[in-house]
Amino acid sequence: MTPQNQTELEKAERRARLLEAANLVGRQVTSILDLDELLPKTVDIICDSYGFYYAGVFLVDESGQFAVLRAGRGDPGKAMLAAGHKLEIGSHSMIGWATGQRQARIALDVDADAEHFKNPHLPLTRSEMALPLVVGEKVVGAVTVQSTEERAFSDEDILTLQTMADQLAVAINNAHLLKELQRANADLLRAKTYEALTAATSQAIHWIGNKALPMTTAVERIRADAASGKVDEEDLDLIAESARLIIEVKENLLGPIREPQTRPVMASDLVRAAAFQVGLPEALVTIDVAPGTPHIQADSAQMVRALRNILKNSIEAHAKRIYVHISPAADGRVALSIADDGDGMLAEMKDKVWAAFVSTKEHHTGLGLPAALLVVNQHQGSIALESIPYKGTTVEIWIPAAHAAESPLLTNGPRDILLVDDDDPWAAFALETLAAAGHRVTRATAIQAADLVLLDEAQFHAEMPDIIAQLKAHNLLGKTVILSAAPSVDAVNYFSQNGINHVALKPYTAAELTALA
Amino acid sequence: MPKILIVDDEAIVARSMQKTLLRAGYAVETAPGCDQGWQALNDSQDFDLVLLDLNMPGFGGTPAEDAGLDMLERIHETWPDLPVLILSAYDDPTRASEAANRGARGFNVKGREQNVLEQIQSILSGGQ
Repeated sequence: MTPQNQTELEKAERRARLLEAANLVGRQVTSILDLDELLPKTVDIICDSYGFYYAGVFLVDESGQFAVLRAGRGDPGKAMLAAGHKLEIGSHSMIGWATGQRQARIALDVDADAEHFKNPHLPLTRSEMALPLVVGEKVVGAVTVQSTEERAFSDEDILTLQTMADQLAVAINNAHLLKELQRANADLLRAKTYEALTAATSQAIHWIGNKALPMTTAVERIRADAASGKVDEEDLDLIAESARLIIEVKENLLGPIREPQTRPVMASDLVRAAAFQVGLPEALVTIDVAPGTPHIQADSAQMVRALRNILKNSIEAHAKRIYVHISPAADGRVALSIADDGDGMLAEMKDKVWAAFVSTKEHHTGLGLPAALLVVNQHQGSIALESIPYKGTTVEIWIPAAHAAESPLLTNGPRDILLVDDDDPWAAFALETLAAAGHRVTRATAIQAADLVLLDEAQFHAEMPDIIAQLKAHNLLGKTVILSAAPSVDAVNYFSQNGINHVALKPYTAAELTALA
Repeated sequence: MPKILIVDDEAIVARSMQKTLLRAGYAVETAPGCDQGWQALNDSQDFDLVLLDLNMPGFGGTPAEDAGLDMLERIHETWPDLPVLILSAYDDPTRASEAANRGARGFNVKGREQNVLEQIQSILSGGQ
C-alpha cells in the first residue's frame, strides 16, 4: 500500500468512527433525559472517538448570565466542576463568545486567538473549538473541544461535532422541559393535596363539632337538673348517640389502617360472609362467579369489612336485590361488581362519596365508602362507583388475583370430620379437599360424633345457639374449630364464653384447610 | 363486698369505670400500669376480679401495646382462679383470641363496654 493510500484509508476509518460517534450521541440523547448522566457520557464519546485532549459541556444558568460547566473530561474536568467553573456569556472567552454570538468559534492556534481563555487546568491546549447549543432562538449552552495539536480540526470534524451539538441541544432542552413539567406537576399535586386535606379537615371539624355539641349541651342541662333530682332521658339518649357515632369513626377509619395480611381467598365466600355479618337474608344477594375465576390475594377480614360497608349502603338505599358478579379481569386482577336496585344517588354526590364524613343519610358518619376505598387501596386494587337516581348503584372492585402457588395436602392420618356449613361453593371445596387428604368427612347441620368439627361462622340455614347446644350435648365443644373469614372480638367472646376457644381464619387453600385437620 | 382491681394508665377511663363499679356496690382500686397493678395484687391478696387494659406501661414501666397480656399471663399462673376481663381500645379478634387462650374471661372494646358490668356481676355471682 502506498503512503497516499494509507493516508486515505486512515481518513476513511476516522470518518467512519466519527459518524459512529455522532450516531451514538444521537441515540443517547433520545433515550437519556437525565442531564447528569447524558452530559458526562457525551464528553467521553467526543474525546474517545476523536482522540481529543479535552471536551466539556456548559449550560446557561437560570439568570441567562453565565455558562456553567456541567461536564468535563478527566481530572481537569473534575477540578473545574469542583471549583464551579463558569464563564460570562459574551465575555472574552471562546465559550463566552460562542454563547453570546450563537455561533461556533474555532481557534486553530490558541496563542493567536484573542478570545481564548488561558485555562490553568488545560495547559497543553493548542487548538480549541466552541460550539453553541442552540434550540430555535435560544442558547442553552455550549460545548468546548480542545486538542494538544495546532490546526487539529478538519472541516469534517466541525460538521459532525456541530451535528452532535445540535442533537445535544435538543436533548438538553427536552430535559429542561421535563423538569419544568415535573415541577409544575409537583406544584399542582401539592395544591390539590392541600385542597383535599383542607376539604377533609373542614368536613371533620364540622362533623366533630356537630357530634360534640349535643354532648356538651346535654351535660349542661343534666347538671342544671341535678339539683332538682330529675333526669331527662332524651338528654341521656343524645349523649349516647353522639358517643356511638364517635366510636363508629374510630372503628371505621382506624380499623382498616393495619397492614393487610394477604393470602389466597375465595371472593364469593367473602361476599357471603359480609352478607351474613350485615344480616342480609341469603335470597336477597345473588352471587354469580364466572368459570375459571381465580382466588384473590387479600386480607379476608379487611375485604369483608369493605364489602360489608358496600352491602350496608345498598340496604340503606332500600335495595330489594343485590347482584354480585365475580369474574377474571385484565392485568391479573379479579373484578367484583356489586349492583343494587336501590335509590341511587345524584351525580354531584358521586365524586364526594369517597371523602370521609360525607353522607346523605341522617345518623351517618359517611365513612363506609372511604373505609372501603382505604382497604381496596391497601390491596393494590381499584374501586369505582356508578349510580343512577331511582335505578340503583353499582360498585366495582378490582383486586389482584392470588398467585397460583402449589398448595399441598397435609395429612395427619384419617379422621372423622364433621363439616357444619351451608351447601355453598366453599363447602364443596372443603369436602373434596378433606376427602382427597384421606379424611372421612360429612357435611351436616345436625351434629353427630366426630374427631373434629369444622363450624362455619356464617350459617344462613341454622341458628348458632342451637348448633352450640348440640355440640355441648355431644361433648364436642373442645373438638370444634370456628371458621370465620372475618372474626370479630364479639364473636371470639361469644364462642369462648360458650366453651369454644378455637376461632380460626377460614381456610381457602388445600394446605390451609388440611393443616387444620 | 367483692373487690375489683382496675389496671389502666388512662386516668379518666380508670376513674369512670371505678365510679360505675362503686355504684354497683363493689370495692374498687385502680393502678396505672403493670408494676403498680402487680404490687396491689400481691399486697392485698383479696381481689375478686381484675379489669385489665392492654396498651399501658408494662413490667419495668416501659409502655407496651400488649402489656396487659403479659400481666394476664402472670396473674393466671399465680392465681389461676382469679377472673380477669380485658378492656382495650383494640377492636382486634386476634388479641381477643390470645387473651381467651391466656385465660381471660372476656374481651371488651372501649366504647362498646356497656355490658362489662353485667359480665362482672355474672362472673362474681358464680356464672360464666
